[in-house]
Amino acid sequence: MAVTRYTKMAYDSADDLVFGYSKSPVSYGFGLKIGAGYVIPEINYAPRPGTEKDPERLRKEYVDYISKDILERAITVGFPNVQLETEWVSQMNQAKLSAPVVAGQQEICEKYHEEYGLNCGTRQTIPDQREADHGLRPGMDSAHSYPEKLFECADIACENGCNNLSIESVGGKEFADYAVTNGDIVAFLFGVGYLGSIDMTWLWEQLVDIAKKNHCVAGGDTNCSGANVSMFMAGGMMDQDVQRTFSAVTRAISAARTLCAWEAGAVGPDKDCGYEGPIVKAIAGKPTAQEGKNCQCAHCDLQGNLIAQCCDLWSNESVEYHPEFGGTSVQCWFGSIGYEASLMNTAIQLKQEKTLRDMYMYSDRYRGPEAYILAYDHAYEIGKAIAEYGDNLYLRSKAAGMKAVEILLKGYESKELGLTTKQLETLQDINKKLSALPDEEDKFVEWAIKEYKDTVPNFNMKNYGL
Amino acid sequence: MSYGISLDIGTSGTRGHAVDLSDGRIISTSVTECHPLPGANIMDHLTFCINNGVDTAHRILMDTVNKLIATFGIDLKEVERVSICGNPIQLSLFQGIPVDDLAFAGENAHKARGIVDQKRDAGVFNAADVGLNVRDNCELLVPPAIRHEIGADALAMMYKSGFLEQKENCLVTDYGTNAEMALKIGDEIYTGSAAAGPAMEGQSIKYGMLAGPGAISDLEYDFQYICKVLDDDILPQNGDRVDFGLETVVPEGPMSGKAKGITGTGVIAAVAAAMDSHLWRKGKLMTSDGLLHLQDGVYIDSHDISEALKAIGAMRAGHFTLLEHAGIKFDELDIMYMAGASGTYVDAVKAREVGLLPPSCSTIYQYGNTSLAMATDILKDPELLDELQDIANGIRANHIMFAGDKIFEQIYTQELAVCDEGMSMEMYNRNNALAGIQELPRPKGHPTVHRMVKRDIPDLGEKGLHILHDIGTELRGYMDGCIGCKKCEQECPEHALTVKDDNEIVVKTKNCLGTACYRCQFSCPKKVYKYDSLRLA
Repeated sequence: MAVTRYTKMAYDSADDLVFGYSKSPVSYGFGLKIGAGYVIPEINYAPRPGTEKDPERLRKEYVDYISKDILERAITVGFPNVQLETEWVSQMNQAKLSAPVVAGQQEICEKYHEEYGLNCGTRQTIPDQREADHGLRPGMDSAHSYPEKLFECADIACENGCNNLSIESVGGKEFADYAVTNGDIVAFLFGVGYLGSIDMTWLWEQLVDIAKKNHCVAGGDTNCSGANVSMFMAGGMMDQDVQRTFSAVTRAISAARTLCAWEAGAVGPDKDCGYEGPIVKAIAGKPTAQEGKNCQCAHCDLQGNLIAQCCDLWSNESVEYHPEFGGTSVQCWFGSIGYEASLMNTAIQLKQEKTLRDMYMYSDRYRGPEAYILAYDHAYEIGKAIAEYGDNLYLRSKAAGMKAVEILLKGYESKELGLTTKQLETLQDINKKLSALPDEEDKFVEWAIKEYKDTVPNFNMKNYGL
Repeated sequence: MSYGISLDIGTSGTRGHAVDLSDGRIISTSVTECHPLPGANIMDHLTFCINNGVDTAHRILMDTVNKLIATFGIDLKEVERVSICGNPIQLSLFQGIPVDDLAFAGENAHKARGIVDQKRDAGVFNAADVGLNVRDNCELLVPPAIRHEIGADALAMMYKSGFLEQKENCLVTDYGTNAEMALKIGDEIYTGSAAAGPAMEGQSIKYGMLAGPGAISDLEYDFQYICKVLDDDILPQNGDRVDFGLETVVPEGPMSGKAKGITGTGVIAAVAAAMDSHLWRKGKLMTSDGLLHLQDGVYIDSHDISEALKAIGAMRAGHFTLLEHAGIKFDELDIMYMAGASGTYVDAVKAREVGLLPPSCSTIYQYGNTSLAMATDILKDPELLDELQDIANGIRANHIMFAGDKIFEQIYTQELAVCDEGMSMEMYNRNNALAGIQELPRPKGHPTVHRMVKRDIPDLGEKGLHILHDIGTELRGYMDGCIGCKKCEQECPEHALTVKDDNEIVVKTKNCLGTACYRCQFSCPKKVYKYDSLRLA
């Protein structure tokens, strides 16, 4: 599959970005149409600890309990669409554990589609267990063979009926960990924006082939392992360990990386936990999955409403399967995201979608720097900066970071966005560091290798085929 | 100059080569668009013979074959020998020998009617005697049948594909209107033939057409589907990109705007896509208008899918029945040989997906037209006839007459319920289990496909391919009491019938659906129309 970099925007204006519509909708599964004029709830879950010890118990947990509960609830409440997302527990890198789950979920989806006309399907998010110290490429990890296992998982998922193949890839994670803990934005740019993009492109070229061979849709990726780590460490109003201006800039850089899956041929929707979704959707026009206020079962963030502004799938992130007063946990949280999607779809039918979008957006726009840069008008501007340098992985990542800095400084100066002194100082420091970087990729890479080879643990250029 | 002609007399048409006997070089190739007899399958042809006589059927067929060999571009007076191959019914029609031993199954039926089994061994005859427009004493080489129901075409597919040498359990099928099939378990061979109908060859499909420029021959999965349309060199090129779920059609490649119809392989691809997209539910296409839009207005409707599924179902039921008779499970069968034009061009993976070959087969060999290939071999080396007779005599064949077989009946009933009534495969398996029949597994993994030839007829010769469209055979007659109301003409679904000013009925045989239809007869308000009274013009 040839890689085609995005050098122009799919959308003509930021105002065209709205939930439920994408420029390039995708259809798959049993009647699912993503980004085709309505928002679909995507429910994610985790099995109870211990069930992974036995293949039959795990299959029962995922299929007979979790999936059945969700599909039953969809019929009970009257939700016409649902996407199941199975984020594989690490033990599922063995076919005996994963294959029956994938096949079983496909079968039960087919049954509910046949019997009730419910539009449904599965996203299988396979685990990326690769470790930088052992090696990210096949043949390098003699201890665990994690790179090989990753592709085996893709085969298992696709051959057993997965509808949407996705992953949370970890390329650049060793740099992201170092960058976040040391407040080094250039390390993040080199590790995630440059090396991570190389890894994701390499990885997705192969995943796309596997998916296509099996008539499965290649969905997308996320920088969960980088920008989300940064965001969660930055935390909320009381936390100070990582500044949220730093976290906001890492999010912008991460968009240049997440885009690579689509550039390698994946068609979307991407992963719910990629908060960079509004930026990549603005560039590529492909559908995005998002999570926010209805994923409180998994985590808290500071843009719970805003992030729904242009989603195509609306997710709960993940919930462990257990009983609640209102049913099982998956039923309760499915109800939560299902009703939110229903509200968005009603707004579309009443032609009030832009009003609701703006209500979501303004509700969180000023809550913090991360939300501020993800507001659809700003996300669009960051997208434009990436597309302007779309052919160059380094320059576009740098442009994304610089644009985020510019947006945040402008917001602060216009008194739209409040920043603490520490947040402002961090932002100014980032600005200084990014501005000082060269315009030539070769020079930057040469410098970065020297700079980080002895400081970033487990840094190995061979992990990126370099 | 000394020429030879090799002919494959098929249920859906005749194909032939003109060969230079001095060096064995193929000079030209001609094929007919369809069979000249009314109807679309072997049962229609047999019924026509029973009702109108073998002589009439023989004369219609020979009229077409003579038109075909006239297109070879050779001097027919220089033809030294002709070789033929085909199923026993078509070869009998060609030779003008009775077919009632093939039309009625079982010893009792034969005894009751005083039917004598015909000898169908290898032989050399005079081609002019059977009505071919060649010089007198031109030899006609006829290959042997294995048994009287297992014809030379079955021998051809076994002989030419390597099936006979295979040590593992294997299955071979000649994918045609009448699908010959054989299952080999050790030294035992189980054979049968399923009247699949012509859907596999694009016939009886609304936009169906033979492979030619503008024909959609495949759909390539690219997260949506790209129509593959044959260009002027009959090579597939990208046409439009379609998304059946989203119901969008977007121009993509050089063949956008140039599609005219769809081939049998394209139909199989469309069926596979409809299944893959889960758009075929309860016997109907679940798109907003019930159509699967391809490009340039070409579409597949629910009736087309149903027709294709009936053909697929007949073959699947045939395969299934052979396995049950042999007493083996699907997972004991791994190797498949596919013969015939459809067996060559169809995407074998999609074919397995829709049920054209057993889901367990993971090694697939695709051969071309083995019937024409064997006829050509015989033409070049007439002594091969003796060798083939020895092979035929040595085959321990168990022929299963599907028409009277309880297992086939059980399975094919389920197939019909699936394609016509939308019965689920879960119920299909459950009903078969009640009859003690094994479960049909779902296809898994990726089979290894060996394409042994580039096209079904690998060598077209220096003068290339000629397609005979206008067979031009007509049945005519006057009906006593006909009032000329033209109700029969209006009722004919294929527009094959015309009522002339003097009330003469004229039926173009190639378009007529024959005994499967009879709507002309049923529609006559005066009850005077008798289809069987029509005579060859």
